[in-house]
Amino acid sequence: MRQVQAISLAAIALVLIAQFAINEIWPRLYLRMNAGEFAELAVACARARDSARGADDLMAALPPNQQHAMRLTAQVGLLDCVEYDRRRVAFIANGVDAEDLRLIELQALGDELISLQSTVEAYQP
Amino acid sequence: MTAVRTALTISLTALLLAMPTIVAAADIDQLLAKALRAHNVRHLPTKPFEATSKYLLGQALFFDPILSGNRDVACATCHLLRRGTSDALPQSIGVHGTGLGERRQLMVGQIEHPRNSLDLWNRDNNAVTSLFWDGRVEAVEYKGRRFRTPLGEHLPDGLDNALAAQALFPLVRADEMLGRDGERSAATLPDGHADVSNELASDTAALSGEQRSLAVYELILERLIGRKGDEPTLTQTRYRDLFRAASPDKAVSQITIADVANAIAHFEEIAFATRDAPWDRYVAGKSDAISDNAKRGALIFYGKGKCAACHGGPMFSDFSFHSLLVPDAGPGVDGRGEDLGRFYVTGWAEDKYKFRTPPLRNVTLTPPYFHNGSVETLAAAIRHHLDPLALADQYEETGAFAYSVDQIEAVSPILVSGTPLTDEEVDRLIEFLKTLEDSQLDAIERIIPSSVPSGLPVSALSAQAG
Repeated sequence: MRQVQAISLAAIALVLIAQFAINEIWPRLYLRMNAGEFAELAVACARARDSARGADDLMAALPPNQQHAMRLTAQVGLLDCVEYDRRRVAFIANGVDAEDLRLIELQALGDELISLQSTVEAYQP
Repeated sequence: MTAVRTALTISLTALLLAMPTIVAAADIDQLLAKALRAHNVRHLPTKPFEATSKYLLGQALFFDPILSGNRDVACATCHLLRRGTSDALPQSIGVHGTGLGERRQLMVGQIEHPRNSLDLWNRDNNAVTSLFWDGRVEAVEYKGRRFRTPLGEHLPDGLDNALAAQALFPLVRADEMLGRDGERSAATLPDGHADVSNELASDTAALSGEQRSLAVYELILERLIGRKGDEPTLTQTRYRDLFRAASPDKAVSQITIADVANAIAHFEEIAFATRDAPWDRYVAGKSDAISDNAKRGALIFYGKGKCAACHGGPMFSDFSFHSLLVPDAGPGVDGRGEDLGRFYVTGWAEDKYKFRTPPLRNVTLTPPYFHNGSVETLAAAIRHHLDPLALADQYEETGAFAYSVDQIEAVSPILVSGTPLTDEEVDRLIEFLKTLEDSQLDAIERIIPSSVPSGLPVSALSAQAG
C-alpha cells in the first residue's frame, strides 16, 4: 500500500514538474528559438501590406490589362501575411504570451523597409 | 506492478495532454500553387525537334554570311547559342566587326549599332506580339498587311508570321548586315567571295526607305538563287536545291524574299525552343524540379516584387512598352547617346524612352542587360528596377542633370513608388530566374552546321563552341 502511495506521489510530482516545464520554461525557450524568424515574418507581412496599398494607389495610372496583373501581384504578396499569421498561432499554441509577440512586432516595425503608414497604422484615429 | 503501470500511464497521458502544439510552417508549394493559379501560369508545351527541309534551308540561311553586304556577317554572328542566342556585348556589332561574342570589336571609324542583341527563344509563341526593342514589328493588322512593320504597305506578301517579318529587317540596316555603298568584301574570303563589290548597298544607294529595302531583297535573292536564264554558281545551285526541297511545289522563279524569311523564322522556331526548363517541369507538377529558394523567388516574382505585372505570361513579358530610366550607354540612335525607343515607331510623345519588356527565358545567359546593355549583371538589373528614380538626381561631369524631366516623368508608374526588396530576396529572385534556363542547351549544338552553301566560313562556330 505504501509502495503504491509512493509511486502515485512520484507520478504526481513528475506531472507537476513536467507541467511547470511546459507552461513556464517551454514558451520562453520557444520564443527565444523562433523570435528572429517571427520578426522577419512580421516585417515581410508589413511590407506586403505596404506593397498592396501602393498597388491600390497607382491603379488609376495603369492601363486595364496592367491593373489586373498589378492587383494579382499585390494579392500574392499578401501570402506573406498568411505565413506570419500561421506562425503567430503556433506561438500562442506553444504558450507564448501575446504581449511578448506584440513586443517583437513593434520592434520589427522599426525596419527601414516598412513605410511610415504601416508603422503608425494602429494609432490612427 | 499493476499500480506502477497505472501510475506511469496516468503520468504519460497527462504529459501528452499538456504538450505544446506543433504547427507546421506553411507549405511553400501550396502557397506558390495558389499564386500560379491566380496568374494563370502554365508550363510551356514542348515543340518537337524536326530537321525538315524547311529547317535545313533556314539553318543554312541563318549561318551563311552571304546574306550580308560584305559577306562577313550572318544572323548567327549576333545570336550565339553559347551566349543564350545573344552576343554578350552591350551593343551589337554587325558589319565592320572582328571577332565574336564578347571579343567582337568594331573597326575604327565605323558606325556603331545602338542596341543590345535580343535573344531568340520561343519567338513563335502566340504570346509574342511585338519584336525588337521598340516593337517595330508587331502582330497587328496595318495598312492592309497582317503585321505592322517599317515597310508598311510594302511588306512582302506570303510571310508566315511576325518572326518571319522580323527576319527581313537586319538585312537592310547599314550597321547590322547591309554595310555601305562602295565597300568591298575582304580579300581573305574564299574564291568567288573575295574582294567583290557590296552590290546590295552600292546598287541600291540611290534609293531610300522602303524602295531601297525591296531592291536589297531582290539582290539578296539574286545572290542566293541567281537570275532566270543565267547559269547558276555552285552557291546558287546549292540554294536552289534547298529551296526546292523546302517547297517542292514552287518553281525557282516563284521564290521570294518571304520564302527566305519564312525559312529563317522556321529554323529559329525549332532551334531556339525551350524544351526542358526546370520551371516548366515544376509547373507541370514535379515539385522537386526547383529548390525551395527558387520557389520563394517565384513567390516574390509573382507577388511583392511586382515583376509579373510586366513580366507575366509564358514568355515572362507583356510585350508592351515601359520606361525604366535605364542609364545611357553607347551611341544611342541619334549618335549622341539618346534613344527614344518606342517613340520612333509611333511618333507619340508619351512613348518616348519606352522599350519592350524583354522576355526572360534563359535571361541568366544573356548579360549585359537593357536595350543598350548598360547593366552588366542580372542582380544589378533587378536592383535598378527596385528604385529607378534613384538615378534621377545624378549629375553628368559637366554639372548638368544626367536625366531630363521628360525621361524622369516617363518612368513606369509601377516602378515609381519603388519596390523594397532585401539582398536575400534579390538572390532568391535570381534563383528563380535560373530555373528558366533550358537544361538541354548543351544538347542542341546540333543546330550548328559544319559548312554553309556559299562556302564562306561559318565563323560563328568558334564562339558557339566556346
